[in-house]
Amino acid sequence: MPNSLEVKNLSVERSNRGIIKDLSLSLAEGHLVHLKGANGSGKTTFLRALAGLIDPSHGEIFWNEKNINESTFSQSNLNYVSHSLGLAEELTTLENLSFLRAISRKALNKTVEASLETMNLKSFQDYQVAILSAGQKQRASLAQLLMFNCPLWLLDEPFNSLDAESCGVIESLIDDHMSNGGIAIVASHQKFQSSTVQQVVELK
Amino acid sequence: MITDTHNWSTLFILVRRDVLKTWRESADLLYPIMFFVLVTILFPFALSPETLVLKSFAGGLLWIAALLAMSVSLENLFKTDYSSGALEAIVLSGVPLLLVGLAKAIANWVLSGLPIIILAIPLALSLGIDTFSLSILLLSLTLGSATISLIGTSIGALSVGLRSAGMLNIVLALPFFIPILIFGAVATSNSQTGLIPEAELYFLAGLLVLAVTLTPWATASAIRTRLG
Amino acid sequence: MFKFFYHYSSLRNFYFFSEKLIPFLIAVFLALIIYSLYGALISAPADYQQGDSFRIIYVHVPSAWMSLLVYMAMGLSAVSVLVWRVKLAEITLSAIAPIGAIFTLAALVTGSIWGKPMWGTWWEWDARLTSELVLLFLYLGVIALLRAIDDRRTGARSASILCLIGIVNIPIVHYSVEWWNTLHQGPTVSKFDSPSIHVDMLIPLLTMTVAFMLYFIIISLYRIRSAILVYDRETQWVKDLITSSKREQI
Repeated sequence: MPNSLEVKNLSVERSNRGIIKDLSLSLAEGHLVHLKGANGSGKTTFLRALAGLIDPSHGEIFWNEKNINESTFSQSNLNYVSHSLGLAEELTTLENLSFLRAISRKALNKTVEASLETMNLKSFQDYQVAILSAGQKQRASLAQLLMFNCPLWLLDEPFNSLDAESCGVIESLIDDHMSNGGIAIVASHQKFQSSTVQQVVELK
Repeated sequence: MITDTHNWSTLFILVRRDVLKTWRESADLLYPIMFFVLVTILFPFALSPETLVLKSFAGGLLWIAALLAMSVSLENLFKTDYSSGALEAIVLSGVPLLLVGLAKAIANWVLSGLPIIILAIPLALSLGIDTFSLSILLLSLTLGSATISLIGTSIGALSVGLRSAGMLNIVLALPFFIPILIFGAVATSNSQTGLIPEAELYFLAGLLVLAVTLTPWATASAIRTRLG
Repeated sequence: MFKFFYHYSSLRNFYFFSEKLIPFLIAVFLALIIYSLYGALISAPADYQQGDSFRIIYVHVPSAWMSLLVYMAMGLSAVSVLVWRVKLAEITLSAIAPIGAIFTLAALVTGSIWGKPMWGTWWEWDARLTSELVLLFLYLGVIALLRAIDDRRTGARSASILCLIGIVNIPIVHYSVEWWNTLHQGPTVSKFDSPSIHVDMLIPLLTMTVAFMLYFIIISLYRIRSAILVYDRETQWVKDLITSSKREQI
């Protein structure tokens, strides 16, 4: 059965304020959504709701026609690169990524070394994350896109701190993912090139 | 599920990561230890330098110091993982959160419980405890500190990222530690009369079993709730 | 049966249902409290040993019982929050926690006041009072956690987890404190036990307890109703309520 992501009348409240109101979206394989909006408009909240981290106050989210907030749903289908990157500062790049790969229940793809190679971080693999530059940290976090084989990608500001060359690497990664039948939602306040037709969703 | 080797190795990986993180940040290693020693030495200053006096209170006093030192170490359990987004990444990786909860507790015990038990030896001797009572003290501390780590991890998960999380942890956790304190301190003081405090030790063991069974669920639930 | 709960767990339905219930509850409460006070202060005979000072048990004992009952009610709400995600349960948990804490405080203060004429000291470290003190801190912990977390739902869910750990802890604390106490005193009858209670003394105690329960329900309903209005302030039914009450004022 082909993959599909369906959002029906989603409303999310945080700290007693409505942040997302009645949002609906339907995505099939090869669909890319560029999520736009000013700071605080709810891009991160929306992505977190899609990742199943936040419970919606109203509405439902369906992955392959299964409600993701039901307790029977298991979380192994998505690659989520968060705004805060998810790397422990005291550990090295290699240690961080090997850890994530070792505990993960997701389908595995490239090895840690190969992923770091693609991200041009091979020479930094034994450095503590704390001493990496912002762009290097960003690339280290994005390396998980290569390590795991997941149909759904949720990327929160993936191009932050990246130079033009690295942006190009990520853009081609996204293109490859889309042409392999993946689904992606990319929150970014900057435009990015993609050979896939993008659906733009703007949050107010 | 428990006998699944994948889960045992995952547990080991999780514990190893936490221990490694704190090891690299060596100041964090020393704080519980220093706190334990400092609180203990406050008592002779406050009470009396006479060994006769100190001996009679030694068990309770060391237990209080251990309790406080472990409570202080609770704040850092989840703090950095929460702020760096690593906790989210762990949750999203699909690893059973029960294992994460258990691993954090084990790591906390290795990093603060175990050093405290070791340091209790010279400190207890300096307070005039005899060797038999010392062995009972260490046994009670081992059982009790493991329970404290388990309960403390649940509390730490509930309060992660909040303002004054350190103080909140202590205020929330101490009422839960009171029974452990009672049995541990009484075990030690009773042993000073020469008896083996069987009942007290059995209760400590019972509390530990209860904690191991229930607290990982509470921690997992707390992690999922606070991330949402 | 489930349909009943499901229907009244909606905030709107509960609000209007409780509105009808409250006057009836207040009437019964007033009748009971007057009867109980008469029984406690007048018709119950003065105690053989303690004279009239024993009468404070008519506040102390019901307060202590309520302090435990409210925690159990919090526990039930906590389960409803965590398992079935009932919004009304989230509101109830936050609303009754301070009330339970006040009952606990009342039990401690009246216990202390009773102590002075009885033992000559304002405090004794006996098993019941000390357990009650620990219970106070369990309540304060839940309240502190509720206040520390911004988001209402997350706060209620976190407090629910804490409350349930607390429920497991209560019998453990009770038993360990009792054991600790008997170690240093020998097996004595707890100072708050009457060996056999005369029926004239007992009846006001029971009616007083029911009166306290009604008081708790009435106050909780007021708090829950206010919280419902705040929670649902964006909904149409609350907006209608506000405009219609504003119109009445003019």
